[in-house]
Amino acid sequence: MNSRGSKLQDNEGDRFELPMLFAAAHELKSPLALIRQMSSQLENGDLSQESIDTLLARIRLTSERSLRLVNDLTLSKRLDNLQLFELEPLSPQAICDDVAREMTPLFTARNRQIRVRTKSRQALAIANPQLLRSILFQFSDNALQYATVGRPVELITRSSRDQKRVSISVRDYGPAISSDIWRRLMQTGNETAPVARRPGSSGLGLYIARRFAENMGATIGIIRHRDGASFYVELNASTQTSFL
Amino acid sequence: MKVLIIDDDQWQADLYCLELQQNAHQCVVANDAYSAISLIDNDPPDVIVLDLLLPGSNGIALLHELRSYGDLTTIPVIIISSEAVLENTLKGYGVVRTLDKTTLNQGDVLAAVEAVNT
Repeated sequence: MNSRGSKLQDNEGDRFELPMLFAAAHELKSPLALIRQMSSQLENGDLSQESIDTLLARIRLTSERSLRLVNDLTLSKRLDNLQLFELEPLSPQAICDDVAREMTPLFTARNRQIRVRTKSRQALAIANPQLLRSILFQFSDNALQYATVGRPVELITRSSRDQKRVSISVRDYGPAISSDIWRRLMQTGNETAPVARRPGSSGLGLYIARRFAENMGATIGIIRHRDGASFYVELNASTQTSFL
Repeated sequence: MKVLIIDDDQWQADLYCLELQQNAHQCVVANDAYSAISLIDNDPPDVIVLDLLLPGSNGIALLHELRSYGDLTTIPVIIISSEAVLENTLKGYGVVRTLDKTTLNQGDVLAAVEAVNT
């Protein structure tokens, strides 16, 4: 065997990155195809000004959504390179408000709503703002796919009774997760789930969220409800009780 | 013709509908397999345009389900997918055409729907 061939076989990084690459390609294919078709419609169609404005807004929102995924993949690569992300005390409520504000145009354009709900007295969470925001964007984006009209997706913040842990969950009120998909979600460990096995998703978002959470000493989880699902991240609370 | 679009992405479905309605076809949209089955059961369409990847189920499972209803097996199905599709497998489910979402051009869905009657 030539030296080039053996070098490729020996590269552990290649083996690790291929499923990620495949999953990313899968996740980006549909939005890119949609952007292409909407652009084509703008070029060729005899459209009213209202339709033109709608298509332009949809192109922008679809691009922003895809860019968020690309940014997350870049962040994930920085984790591979063992780059450290500094942790700091953060207000979960403020982060949730921020994410909800940024996601509102996309939700509104899809005739859905997103809001923040606080369940208990707030402790500060120890987290990296960039990683935590990315996790919540992933969860919110996922919830948007399953949300129903008139039942807003909720970002819910809670502190544990002993004030040692803080959780932020993203709750959708869509159809219940089927047992089949539930089992597959529970099996989504350190690898992305095979694309063909999870309809509509490669599992990449969950995989990225899990990696980001682990980097902050946090955990992620899923609660299955009869009327939807909650995806949550649980973080260490700060001993500092509030911003000075 | 009455066309049922089954696609989890409403914006994608809107594009297909716009094209079909501009050419005097009737268009109904279902965003998931469950509502699709209910729509088909209540008022069977002339053609189904189906995205293979659907939340909570998938297009193949839906085709399988439809095949179990004897009177619905004759409805022609046009598949749109961004993944490789095994056309021979799908023929048994009444699939008359498969279109690749990533290379789809304006007029392709309309042409595929209108070709069903020829």
